Amino acid sequence: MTHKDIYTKFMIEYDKANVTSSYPSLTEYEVATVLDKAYNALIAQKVTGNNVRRSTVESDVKSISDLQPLLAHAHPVFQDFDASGDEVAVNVATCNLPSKFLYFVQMYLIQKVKSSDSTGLSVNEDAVYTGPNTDFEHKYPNFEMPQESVTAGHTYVPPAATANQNPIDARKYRRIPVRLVPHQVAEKFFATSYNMPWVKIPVCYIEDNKVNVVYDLLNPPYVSVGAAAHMVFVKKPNTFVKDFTSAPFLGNNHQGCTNFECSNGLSQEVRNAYNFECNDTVAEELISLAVTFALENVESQRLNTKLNTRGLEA
Amino acid sequence: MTLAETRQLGIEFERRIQTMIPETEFMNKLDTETIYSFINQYQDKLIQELYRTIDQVQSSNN
Repeated sequence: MTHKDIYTKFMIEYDKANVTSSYPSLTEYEVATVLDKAYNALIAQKVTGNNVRRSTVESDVKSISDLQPLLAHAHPVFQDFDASGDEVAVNVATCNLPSKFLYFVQMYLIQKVKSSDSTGLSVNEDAVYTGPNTDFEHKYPNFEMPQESVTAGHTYVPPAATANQNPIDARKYRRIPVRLVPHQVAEKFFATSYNMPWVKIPVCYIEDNKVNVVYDLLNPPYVSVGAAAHMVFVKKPNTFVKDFTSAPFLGNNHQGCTNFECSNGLSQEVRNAYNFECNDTVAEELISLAVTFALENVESQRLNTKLNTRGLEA
Repeated sequence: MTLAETRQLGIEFERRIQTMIPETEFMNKLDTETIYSFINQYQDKLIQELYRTIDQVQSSNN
């Protein structure tokens, strides 16, 4: 469904609303503004669970399906915050939020396994073992040494993952889940003069458009400058009022544009900006909510529309 | 007991506390001083009990 379709359906419902007085006609810009407001409110309802079904993001099939097109991922890189002049916390690493970030869903640290230059993680040991076979067998008596390693000499190097090997062989990276917590909770994980906490699951908090990950100081997940995380988030949707700042690919010709469809000669990226990302069910919910918002601005107080629609607001 | 073993002791204590009271995993996480305060208290109690037990065994043998 395109923005033009949304506009058409909105105008149909707005015109046919069961009212006792006529409503002022809306310009395209006003309709776009109302639709943007309703879209943001609808996403907030689905993410936070402030809806009729009381279901938050990814809590049931419908919520997954509704927001699936808006779920995005990014690999923010941890920064050298020494150079930026910020105060360095002992066990805190910082990375920027993605540019289209709207709501946090999940984050993983990508942990590079020790000494994983070309061989990676083995079943029984993180580091690559290059000592004599006898020592290795003594340390891990139950490990079945591959025949080719035995015949190759005294050096054991975990082989590449093949059908004959355990699937976690030769993996260079692991993912560690990170839990988003409030500042008051995060401070319980800081290394201080009276606290050297065990951080089984790293936690993170958000401030100043940055994610701060607090990890175990004595068993660090090798979070270093240049290391990446994997972040899943709800991205900002395509706006109905086209904004050059948030969508520079639209070009100056589209700045402040409120036309609900674009001409055919434009690039696919520009044409995508005029598509409604979510499914038709969400589109219908959006139109209903937008009509409610549009009506409550001009409706008579005796109909109490504000009171009735309060539950719809995020 | 080495420092590493002492830390493992604290971790095991915290792990069991978290299993019994899940809120202590994040919202009400115990700080290190509190954890070792509990461990120290129990250590004192254990030694006192052992001392009393040994004393009782010796007196019964006499």
